[in-house]
Parts: sequence; C-alpha cells; structure tokens
Amino acid sequence: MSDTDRGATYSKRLEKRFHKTVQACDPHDGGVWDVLIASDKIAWAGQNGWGHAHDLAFLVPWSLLNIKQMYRGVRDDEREIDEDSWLCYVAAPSFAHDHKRKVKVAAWPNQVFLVFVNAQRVAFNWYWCKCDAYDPDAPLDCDSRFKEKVF
Amino acid sequence: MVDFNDSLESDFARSVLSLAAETTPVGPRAFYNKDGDCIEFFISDESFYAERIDGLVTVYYGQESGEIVGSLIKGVKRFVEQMTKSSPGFVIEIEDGPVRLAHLFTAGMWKQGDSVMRKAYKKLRDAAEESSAEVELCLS
Repeated sequence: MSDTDRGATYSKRLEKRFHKTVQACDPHDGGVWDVLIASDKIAWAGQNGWGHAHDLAFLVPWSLLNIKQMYRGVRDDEREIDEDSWLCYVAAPSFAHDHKRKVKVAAWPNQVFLVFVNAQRVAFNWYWCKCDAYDPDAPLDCDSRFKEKVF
Repeated sequence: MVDFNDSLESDFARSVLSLAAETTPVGPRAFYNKDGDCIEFFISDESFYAERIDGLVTVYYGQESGEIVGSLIKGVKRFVEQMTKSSPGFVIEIEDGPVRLAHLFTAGMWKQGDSVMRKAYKKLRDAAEESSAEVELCLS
C-alpha cells in the first residue's frame, strides 16, 4: 500500500536525498503533508527558463495547498497498480506566468492548474488544462481520466 | 486561502529561481522524468495548456497561438515493452545510449485511426526528427 492510498499508515513529514520538500494538502484528512520534487525535475524547469522556473517556484506550491479538487488513480487504460495510487491536485490560481514575455499575468481563462503526485509522494509534473464545461473547478474529462474523486 | 510555512515556501522558490536560465532555450528539447515514467518534449517557449489526446500522449498547445508547442509521452516503459513485443519490425535501440523521440511518435502514430490525432503526432514527430531530440531512458 502506498502513502497516497486510502487508509494508508504514513508519516506527514517526508525527506529524501536529491529532492526538495514542499507542503501539500493531505488526501487523508485535508490537513498538510510533505511531498517531494526531484532535483533533476527542478533543474529541468530551470533550464527551460523564466516561465517554467516561476511556475514551479510559485504556482506548484500554491496549488498543492489551495486545491479545488483532488483525484486519485491517474490514466484510464491499462493502468498499472502504482498509477491507481497517483494523485492529481486541481487548483484555480488567480495568476499565471507568460513564458514568452517573462511577466506574471492573470490566470488563463477557463483553465485549472494540475499537479500530479506519484505513489512515492513525488510531484512529478504540472500544467494548465481546460476546465469542465459545467464545473469550472474540474479539469476537462475528469470522469474518464481519474479513478476516484478524493475531494 | 491556505499558506502554511511561508519561510519554507520562500526558500523553495528562491532555490528554484536560482537555477533559472538567463535565456530561454531555443529549439526542441526533451527530458525523461523517471518519477512519472514520462517524457516532456518542448518545441517552443510559449506558455501552454495541456490536452490529453490518448493514453500515450498529452499535447501542449500555446496559450496564445493555439499551436502545438510540446507534448508529454506517458507510460514510456510500458509502451516500449508493448512495441518491442507486438511489432518485431519496429526496433527501438535502447540497449546503449538514448532513444530518439521521433521513433516513439512514429510508433504511437501507427495506432491512430483518428486523422486529427495523427496530425498532432506527425507535427510532434517532425519536430523531434528535425531536432534529433532524444532522451536516456531508465528502463530497469
């Protein structure tokens, strides 16, 4: 059983070599727990310039704590067991970053910001995506993309 | 709005921003993310939103242009295993050295009957081919 599974026994604190620790909404109780971001992913964001670095520095930590919705079980076809434990944090930040112009801007309209966390509590990817036509706090196609809604 | 442990978040932001490149890289680039078993591939530096087109690929579209500006290839290990079993004629040389992204997009495109999706795959493959984009996979 992974820390991200329903009913798991786990520690809220988490540290790991070659990873940075950030706080996130705990799917078990709605409180706060630690998730990790790998150093090579941080380096990759930095290499991609101002926009990617600012998204990681500000959007990701904010979104992990200020969720609108959370889902468990990512990918809908031929899923492996580990992916059933993956989490998707969904947030609606009021700000975004214009990568080309290198400025902070208002959030992209009709979109939500997603952060994906794997079974080892590593936040491995994040991006904006269009929201559901009837629920502005939900990502498009959430019913088919995720196994269950946590919050 | 919740803001726990401001000083920790500020330290994190500072450490990330200290790594930010002075100039945005020009041209296609790719990264294999072992924590997600996925490959991120960027063609341009435009801000983007993601749209899942199938179980293998999520396409990144420019926020302003609406053009394809990159993609996420998901479940890479599983896909490579499936392709090497089901398509003996499709050889992905992964024993030594990096994997060319164009091969992965080509393999994914073969499965697509939808013309819109094939078009997306083709654009990504062409960009990958032109730039010779490749990544080291950790398949063990």
